[in-house]
Amino acid sequence: MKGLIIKDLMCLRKMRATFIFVTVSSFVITVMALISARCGNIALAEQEYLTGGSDMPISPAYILWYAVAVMVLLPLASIGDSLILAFEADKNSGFAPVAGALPLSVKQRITARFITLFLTCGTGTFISLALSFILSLFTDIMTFGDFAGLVLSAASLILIFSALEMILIFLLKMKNTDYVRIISLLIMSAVFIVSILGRIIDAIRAVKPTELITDGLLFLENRWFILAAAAAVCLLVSYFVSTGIAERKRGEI
Amino acid sequence: MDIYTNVIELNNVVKDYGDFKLDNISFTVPRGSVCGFIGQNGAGKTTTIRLMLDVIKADSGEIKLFGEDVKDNAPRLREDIGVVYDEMGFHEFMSGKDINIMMKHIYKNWDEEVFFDYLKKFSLPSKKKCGDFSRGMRMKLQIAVALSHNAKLLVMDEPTAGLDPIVRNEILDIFREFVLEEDHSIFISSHITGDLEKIADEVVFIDGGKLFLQGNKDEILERHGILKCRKDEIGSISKSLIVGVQEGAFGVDVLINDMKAAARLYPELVIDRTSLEEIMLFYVASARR
Repeated sequence: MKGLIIKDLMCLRKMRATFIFVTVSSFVITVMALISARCGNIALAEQEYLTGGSDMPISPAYILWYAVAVMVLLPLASIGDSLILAFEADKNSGFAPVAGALPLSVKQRITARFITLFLTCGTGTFISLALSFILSLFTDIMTFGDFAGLVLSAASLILIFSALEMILIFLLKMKNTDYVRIISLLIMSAVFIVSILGRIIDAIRAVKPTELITDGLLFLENRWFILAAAAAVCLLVSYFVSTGIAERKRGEI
Repeated sequence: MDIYTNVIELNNVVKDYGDFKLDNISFTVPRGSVCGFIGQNGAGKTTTIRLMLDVIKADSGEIKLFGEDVKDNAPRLREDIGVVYDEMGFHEFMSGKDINIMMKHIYKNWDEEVFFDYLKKFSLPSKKKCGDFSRGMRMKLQIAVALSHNAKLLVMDEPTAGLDPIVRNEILDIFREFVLEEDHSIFISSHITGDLEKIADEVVFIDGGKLFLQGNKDEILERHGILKCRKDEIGSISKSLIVGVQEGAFGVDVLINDMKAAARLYPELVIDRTSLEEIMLFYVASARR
């Protein structure tokens, strides 16, 4: 089983390079922005805003908060596709017959794929947390707890996304990975919209969309454990559904 | 696990895909033998191999490898099986070294020294991406993998298809070397009957999901023959001897299933030795008539 995990990680070499590039870039940009917020142009803009000398509708510090949140989420978003990339790599090389001849059960092969997902997501989360800790030293906008909340929320969302992808691949026997991606995203978006529909309507009626974003960010920062619990449930369901179907139908794993 | 006489045993195996059915397949491959599985493309060779390896489940019937039922035992039994497909299947970015890293964590008996020895023997660069390999090199890489975990049975699906005669001969030599060990067996599917004629001890013919002939290769070749006669002479030949008839410009070729009996009954007619290819062609043609 370990061999398959190693193989999957080898398949994700390109993604690793993208992750490093995105992480380093977003980290550098965020550090520069945070330094600017302390003693640069953003600090001057904030001072102007506070003294009423600016016609900006929203505080620059607030905008910076949004931007930093996005920058913290970006590296993890870049590894959100790891599961599908591993499936695609196997499909493109015709690895399925080789895998079928290996001394591994169907369950072991699926478990290997889930472990790859955890390893990828875990490594990404760990690196993002480490960088978040460094970032928290540069700013008062967000504490390390806020950063960590954001990172853990993003990791949970990736796991939910991947769990959905896994179910779609096995349950619906979907071969087109683009459809898998799109349908998973649509399902997640639909659940998100339905769960906060009341708030969305209120924000639109009050013409205060920024409040919605603020609430969203606060939710991600402080209620990450709700998403983590949802991810755990989704992964468990996904694992048992996937192994059950694959054992019965012997699909592509 | 070592007390078995047949390395492969299929009893009344059925797999129905709707548009294709593997119908009541039964055959055995004795331990220590080379069995050629002959059939044209789409005859059911790959499906049979996938069933044997428990990659797909049979609708009914029993499949035994090394004397054990593959149901529930397949992953353990696959430890002793080396599999070679007509297409490589390894990721193109992988080098021999990468494949070694992967396989040594999969097979309990993986021997990296043997693997790298094979790479050297086959002149395969261990650091080069296998996507850059030629077809022959890819096949050799698969064989190196199949032979590097102390496999007792090699299962190969069209391993020599699309290869030039020199590489094909090299590969056949490797197989011959492999079966020198007493308990090593080979199950090789191919439509290139010439290769099987060179190395097989046993042959199993399949067409349209049904087996139509099986047994010891030499016995089958000795038994069958091509009887040459005029068109008007066919009527005088016993129908029980005739497998198939092929009309030519100068007469008729008749595949007969008992050369000795035919020679005795029709001493005036010429009976030539036949090949596995001719046997396959005549049987397939007669089944379709």
